[in-house]
Amino acid sequence: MTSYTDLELDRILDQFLGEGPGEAPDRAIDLALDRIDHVRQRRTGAAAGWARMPATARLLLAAALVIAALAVGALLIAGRTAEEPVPTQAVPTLVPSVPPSSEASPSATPLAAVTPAPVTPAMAIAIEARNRADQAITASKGPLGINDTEQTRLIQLIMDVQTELAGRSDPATALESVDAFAADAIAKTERLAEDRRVRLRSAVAALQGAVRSRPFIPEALEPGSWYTTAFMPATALIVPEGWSRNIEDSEVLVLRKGGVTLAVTKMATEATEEGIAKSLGNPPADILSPPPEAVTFPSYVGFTSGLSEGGGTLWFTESLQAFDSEPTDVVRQWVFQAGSHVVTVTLSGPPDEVAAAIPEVEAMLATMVVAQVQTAPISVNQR
Amino acid sequence: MDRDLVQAAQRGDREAFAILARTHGDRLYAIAQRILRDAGLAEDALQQALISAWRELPNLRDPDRFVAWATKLLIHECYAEARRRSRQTASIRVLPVDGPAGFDDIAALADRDQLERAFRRLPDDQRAVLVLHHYLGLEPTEIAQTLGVPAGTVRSRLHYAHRAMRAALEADERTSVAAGGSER
Repeated sequence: MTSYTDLELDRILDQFLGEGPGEAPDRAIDLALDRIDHVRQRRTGAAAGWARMPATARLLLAAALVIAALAVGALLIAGRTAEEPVPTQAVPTLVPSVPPSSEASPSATPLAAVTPAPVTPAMAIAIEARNRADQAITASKGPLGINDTEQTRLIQLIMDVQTELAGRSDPATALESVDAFAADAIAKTERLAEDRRVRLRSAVAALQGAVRSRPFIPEALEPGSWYTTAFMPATALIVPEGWSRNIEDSEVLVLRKGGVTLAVTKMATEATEEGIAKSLGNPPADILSPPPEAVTFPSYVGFTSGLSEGGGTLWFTESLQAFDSEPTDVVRQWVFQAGSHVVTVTLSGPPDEVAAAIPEVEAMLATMVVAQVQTAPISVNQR
Repeated sequence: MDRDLVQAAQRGDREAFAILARTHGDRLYAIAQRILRDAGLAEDALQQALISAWRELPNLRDPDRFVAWATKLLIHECYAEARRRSRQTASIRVLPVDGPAGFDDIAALADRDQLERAFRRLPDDQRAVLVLHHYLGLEPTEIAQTLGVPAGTVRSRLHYAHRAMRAALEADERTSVAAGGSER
């Protein structure tokens, strides 16, 4: 039997491992380069900060980033067309006339005895978006009516904003620039056509409200009637058992139960049903189903994976929402005209939990009263 | 040149990163192919490594260490691919095949099939150090820097890998001789 010396073994292994291909197939590198177009670079400080943030904080900050990017995109797009003003169309609205809001003066603490008047279920449009892990960042023609090139540019803007803000170790400092940006954006909206002005101001208002730091201590809610004291306009609803209040501030109310999140988000007062309809892509009537059956979300900017820890996926809708979700999460959304405000209600979480929660949420929404004005649907599908 | 490209890519310059990827892609692929012994898996590992490199590049402190750093990422992707493959092929048994009846010199003794089988039986980390040592010609200290493990660990892995390869080769030789003898 042969016994190999070290030298012999080295020679054998040198020769053996020297064999084989020396060039990578072009397709392998090309595919990787294609994919990095949709991958955000990670910076340690931001990654750590991002990972430390509660999921809901990430959601809100992400929403803010998207909003900022959308606003930037809208500004850029509108800026190009500002010299060619877009005539404002007088769009007939079929929105039920809502009596002027007699703004409630909420007390300092939530009341447990508010008895809202019975109201009709207020669902105007139900949107179901299914996040698909196998889908790369994609661009679809959305409510901005922009072409593919512009859409790509918009996505790039989102990436840039993310990179810019994510590079900061302290999210609070990022908020300062968001505020500065918002102020600048507001100043520039005057020259925009009405639909873009509405959209932009809505975005900016949501942006300003969404990024404020806040405690994320869930507070269990006893079953019963509750109304908001920070979220304006004051919103009352009957909360069943098992829900907790995660966030409440002037712009958003977030309730949680198990793995699902229910977010009530106020759009800016400038937002109109027309603006919301535009933000939803003016879905044609035939793709809308009578509530509460969901319809497919008509368009969204895109999504990317790996932005948050634990395999979460962040994706962005064109209704100015962002969700930090698992790849299999689903989202259902309702839009309300509540007095002078437009309010969106978003239910997200694992499909089975969302499906199980929908009846309960619909029952909650049926009891929702905003500033003593019953919620009323927006007929975004009728023009 | 690489340093400038790396720094540009760290700032988000995709074109700079593309040049880096094409410059070093062949080398990375060759390493992956030699560790994984499978062209498809090597392509997957290369792609994942390039994507990871792009994502993590801003955190690379020393641009001059880009090649070693990318190699480390690649090897980790090779480990991941190997784990995925082991899950997919766990039920497949490797059956012995008949070896050549006789050999006259070292090169012939080290029949490629024997080596292939022996190498595939090695743990991933031992394969990696063998490839870095025998294909790239790196010394244990350099391998240690590349992999981010102590040099002693590298020497240990090399020792065990060499021992396993030697044992496998000698075992295969015994099998061949025995098989040849029984035929006669």
